[in-house]
Amino acid sequence: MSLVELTDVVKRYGTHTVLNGVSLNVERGEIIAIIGRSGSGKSTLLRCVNGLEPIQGGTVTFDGTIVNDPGTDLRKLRQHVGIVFQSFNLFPHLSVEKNITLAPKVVKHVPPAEARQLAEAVLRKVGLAEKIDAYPDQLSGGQQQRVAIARSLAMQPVVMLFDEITSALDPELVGEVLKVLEEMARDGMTMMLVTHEIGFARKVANRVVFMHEGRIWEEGPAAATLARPRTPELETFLSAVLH
Amino acid sequence: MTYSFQFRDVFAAWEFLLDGLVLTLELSLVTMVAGLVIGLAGAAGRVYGPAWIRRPIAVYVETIRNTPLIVQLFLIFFGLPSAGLKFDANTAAFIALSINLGAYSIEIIRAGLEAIPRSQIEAGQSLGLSGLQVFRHVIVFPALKLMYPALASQFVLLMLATSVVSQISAQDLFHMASIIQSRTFRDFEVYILVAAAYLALAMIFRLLFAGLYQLVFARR
Repeated sequence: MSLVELTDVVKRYGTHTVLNGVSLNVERGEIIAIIGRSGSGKSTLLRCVNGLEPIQGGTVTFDGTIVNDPGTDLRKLRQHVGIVFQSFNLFPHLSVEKNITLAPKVVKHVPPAEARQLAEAVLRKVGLAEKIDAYPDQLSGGQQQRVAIARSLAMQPVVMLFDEITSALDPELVGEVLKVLEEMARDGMTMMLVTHEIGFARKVANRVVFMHEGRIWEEGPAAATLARPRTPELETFLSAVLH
Repeated sequence: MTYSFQFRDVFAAWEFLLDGLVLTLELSLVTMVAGLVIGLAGAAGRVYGPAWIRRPIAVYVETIRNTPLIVQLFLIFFGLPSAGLKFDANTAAFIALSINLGAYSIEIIRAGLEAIPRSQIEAGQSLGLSGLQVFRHVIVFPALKLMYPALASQFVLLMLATSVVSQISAQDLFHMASIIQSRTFRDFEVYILVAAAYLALAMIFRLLFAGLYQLVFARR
């Protein structure tokens, strides 16, 4: 059994079908890059994994638990599935420390002193130990995104979802965030990342999934798939993003 | 026009005015706390609750905001006793003012809650927080910060509006003024003094609210 299994997932907004029968398995330790045009359903696909998007058909399972079962305790599930968003979504009224320790404290009841140590530890991982007492608006976009990653890591997730996490960053700040991702990849974290950074996908992903019109149009080993697209759609997409 | 002001008799009755001032202050403060509680709970229900909670709250808010405070006050003080519910003047005043301020607070705080981006809620949910935890730790503080000026302004308006409780013989500042007026016949002096007292109270409240903002919301 795979860690994450999507089977014939259908997602509609009214009459508009965003995901049209998507099936995808993700193994433990695997790194999957999901690419495709905007509107192709890749972010929606990611958000189905932690139950942020209700689905209209098919099943999503995480570690054997059916995510789209109304009886599933999504709060429990989400403790194991971290997600990082394009727009960081840090809590503006909380310091970096409080952003990171909020969930461990109120969800897992970690005592305050231990929570502070946890914050220090995850901040070291993203190279921002000295920013522990800063507030989000005192940080650059790249730093904010690294704090958002640290905040997710503090819950010790089994899988991490990254939703275009470098798309809102100035070009010179993209590198520092991708570096953190590379380190996590080395640590063996299971990751699903929606990205426009094709070079990065080629470098760290085991597998690339190309979404088109709400379907998985093409998928395969990262290097081979990106080097030799089998469908004209992927070829067109790649030539567009690689200029 | 020649009018010679004579404040002596009016000043001689300062103890009445002080008593009235104290009740006005008490009514204002207690009502503000009640208004904030009703506002928070009501706004949460209005924005996040199911329809059977949202609807009655909407009806409450619109009914109160579209009827005069003095009518609400009379309904509670003169009307409810017919149904067997009898309150003394101060209690009736407190209830009417709280119901009134609560409705306005709900509307103000609701706007604050709705201004919090959906993405903040999703970030909280994604970390495993429950709905109530997201509300408490993620939404309330930024929402209140955003609506603080409007809320503070509404609270000062409420303090001024407490003067209507004199109409049900609650012995507030304005009621005491009428008593002194009927004793001294120094209408002009009495109402100048009372106006000055309300003005001073309003200024003090505004200063306190500004200080509270610095203390609670302005970090740096």
